[in-house]
Amino acid sequence: MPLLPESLPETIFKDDGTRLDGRKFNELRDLHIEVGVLKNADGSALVCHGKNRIIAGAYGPREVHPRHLAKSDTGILQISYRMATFSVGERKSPVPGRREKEISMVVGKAIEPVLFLEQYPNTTIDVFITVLTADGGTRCASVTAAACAIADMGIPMKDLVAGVAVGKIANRIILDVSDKEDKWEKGGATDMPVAVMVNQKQYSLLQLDGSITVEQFEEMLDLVFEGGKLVYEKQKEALRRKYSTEDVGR
Amino acid sequence: MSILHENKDSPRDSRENHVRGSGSLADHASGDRHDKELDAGILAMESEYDDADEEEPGDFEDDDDEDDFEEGDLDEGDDEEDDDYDDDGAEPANTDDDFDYGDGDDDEDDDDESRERDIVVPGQVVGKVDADTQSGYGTLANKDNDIISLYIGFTQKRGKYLNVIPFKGCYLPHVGHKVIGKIVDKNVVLYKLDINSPYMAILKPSDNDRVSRSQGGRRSRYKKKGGPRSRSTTDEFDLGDIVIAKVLKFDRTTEPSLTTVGPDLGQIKGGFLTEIEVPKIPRLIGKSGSMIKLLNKLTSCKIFVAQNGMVWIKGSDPKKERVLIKAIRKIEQEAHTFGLTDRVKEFIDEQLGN
Amino acid sequence: MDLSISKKISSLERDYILDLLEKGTRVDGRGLLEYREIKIDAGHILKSEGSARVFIGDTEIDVGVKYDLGTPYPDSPDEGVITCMAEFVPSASPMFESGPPREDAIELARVVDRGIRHSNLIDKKKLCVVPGKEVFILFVDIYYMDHNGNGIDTASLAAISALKSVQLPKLEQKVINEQTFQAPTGETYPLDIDDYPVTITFSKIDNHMIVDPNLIEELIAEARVSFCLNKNGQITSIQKNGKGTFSAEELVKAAKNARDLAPMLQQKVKEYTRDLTGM
Repeated sequence: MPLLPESLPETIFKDDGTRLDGRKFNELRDLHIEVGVLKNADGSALVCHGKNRIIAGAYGPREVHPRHLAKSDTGILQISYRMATFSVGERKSPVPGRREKEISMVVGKAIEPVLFLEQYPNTTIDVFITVLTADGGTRCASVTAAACAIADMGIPMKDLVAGVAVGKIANRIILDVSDKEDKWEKGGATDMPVAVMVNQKQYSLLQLDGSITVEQFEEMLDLVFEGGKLVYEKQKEALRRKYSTEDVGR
Repeated sequence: MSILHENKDSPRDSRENHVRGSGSLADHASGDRHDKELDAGILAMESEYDDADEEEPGDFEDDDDEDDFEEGDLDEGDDEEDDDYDDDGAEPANTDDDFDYGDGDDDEDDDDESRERDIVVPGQVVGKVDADTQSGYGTLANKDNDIISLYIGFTQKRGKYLNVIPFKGCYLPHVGHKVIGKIVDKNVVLYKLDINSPYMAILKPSDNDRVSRSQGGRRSRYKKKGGPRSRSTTDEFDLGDIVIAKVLKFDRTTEPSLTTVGPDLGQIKGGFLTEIEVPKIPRLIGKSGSMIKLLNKLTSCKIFVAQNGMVWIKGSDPKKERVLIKAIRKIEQEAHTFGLTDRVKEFIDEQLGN
Repeated sequence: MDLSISKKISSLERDYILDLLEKGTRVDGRGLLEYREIKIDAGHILKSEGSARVFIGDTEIDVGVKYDLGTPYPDSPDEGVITCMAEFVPSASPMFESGPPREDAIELARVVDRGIRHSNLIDKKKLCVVPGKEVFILFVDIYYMDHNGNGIDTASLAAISALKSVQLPKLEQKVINEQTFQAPTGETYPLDIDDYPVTITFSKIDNHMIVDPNLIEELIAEARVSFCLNKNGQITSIQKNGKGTFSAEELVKAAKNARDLAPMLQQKVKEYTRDLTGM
């Protein structure tokens, strides 16, 4: 006998126009970032975005194993995105699926443009992302976490990369789509995860699932960039917090 | 991407930043194997961090070219003349692509703003290119002439160059650096060493022989035994041995190669190792070695700081050694703050219950 | 070349540790039978039925408990099933690699599993939904997040703490569109654990037996032995590993020491409550 799946709410917007969790259309969920959470990793970060709990640990640059993956003219970036078995409502199989492999790849491509991998030929930078709790938008939160972990390693980066999603539900464009909103298909849920390099004003991750007009696309790109700025401020604050020593005299 | 490491128009002056050790064993330089413990030397590097205000005047005023750090010799007290010391100095001077941490004396370049160690993050705009300002180490100028930071660190103005000094970073070998490495693999002609770097280093006994001869040393004992086979064998070190070695060559496309022929170089025995973030090494050493002298005095431990961030510590009292480790962690954590030397002294005194 | 070799311990460090042990102390200043600081907290696992995050020194292990419905074993039709899995997350250590669990991860899960199983701490009949047809399967999933030695003690502490915090949903049958579902009523119930079996691991380094090895001690140890003890001080499982050997005297002495240390660890579990407010 199967378990009854969780039921979805009747409406996704309250009468006053706010969203189920009380957010306005352009508001992020609670976002807290902590850098340097792992002792062994060369760089690490914990991202708490809504109920998402994501830990990224980065190693390198280091020798490539297996050797044949090494490139003599550049370093490589290898991202591994994995969801813990207990990160979702129904236990996930511990075997990595196609979705996890795809997200590993797109997160890697989102981060790579800010790195100077050619500075480290024959080496690899490995970032291992573990989703401890998933609540919608994990690939965006993973980008945020991976960028902080790599910055924490102390290798040069052109910019930080901030991940945030934008969506369209019941013909309204909203920032930072939550799990419930994403699954609310009655309104033709459209989800567009994006990674932005705020200082460079570039987009390095872009996917979309749903249906929108070109005009809506333009509007969404603008809104998601504003969201990226908010995420970037949190990243900046977290990185500074780790290294600030306010309690010691100056 | 020339800004990072190969900027010919380098903001870092190529003033001396060379490695200096002390109390090394003369016989070692001749290529002879020695089973005796190496005396700890202290790597002399000048401090990046502008601490002129907190240090006692005079401690940093003198040109420290002649400073020798002898702290390592406390135990043995042997002042063996280091005949080969000059050889070390005669190595090719550090070139432009060697990032120079050592410009602590250029205090006149600093205005008051540069003493504010605001923490910056990658991508952050830290300044604008103009007549007085150029993009320096750890930064990049974009097409709008904004200078952006490439690291988490703090900004520092050196002459017209605006630098970002990172808090962390991996070690990239440079010719002439003294590093501490662990033998992790060997075959009949070479050793592989972990030198706390993205790249495994190679140590070839045949290179050692060549260096030894070029320094006018005797031929190695293997050579004396005759026979090309036995000349350059790899039976001197075992897997897991720790050696101090010097970087002979490195260009990032091939593995760095090392030699253990030279003053201070060779296997180390006794004591133990800890690590410090490479950009913070100058702080551990302090202006003219002030910090390391302090640590040495208060904990009676020999300390050897290698340029790859490995630190060899040897003391007689485990408690003092532990306090020293804690003090190094404190220096690492608070490297970008002012008044650190005093706080470290207080900290050690408190920990030792003095 | 094996990546992990570079993380193996140098002869220098080995000699230093041995020298300290001769003097009756350890790298971090601990005595031979002293644990590092132990901390159990609720952690970041918000979507599990029970969870705990345990630190012993710098070692961190997160455990989350999830349930599924399945058919019982024919020989115990009214009993649920508990199963352990361990994942060595590659960010935890440069020695861990991606890929299917290696034998040390499997061993860790098995040792924790036996510690739980043989102390009868859970009434498996409470995991029964429809006798002979449907029972709860509890997955105790161990995630090794930061590897700094003594994963076994940390994991067993985390697993038992997580089980202690489990709240299972009460289920009722519901028919929707002619399909029968098990639907949560919204009420939950705990597992009522009244015993806290804990594991205490000893590492043998050159005839010295030390408890709670840190990473460097673990790597140079010739052998280790883990004792799982229940609240009465009885041994419920033992696991020896490593290429070295033990004498009977050593083992008995270690077992006695384990008995002395167990109440301290059990007290930590007793104090643990899973509080997710503010997470």
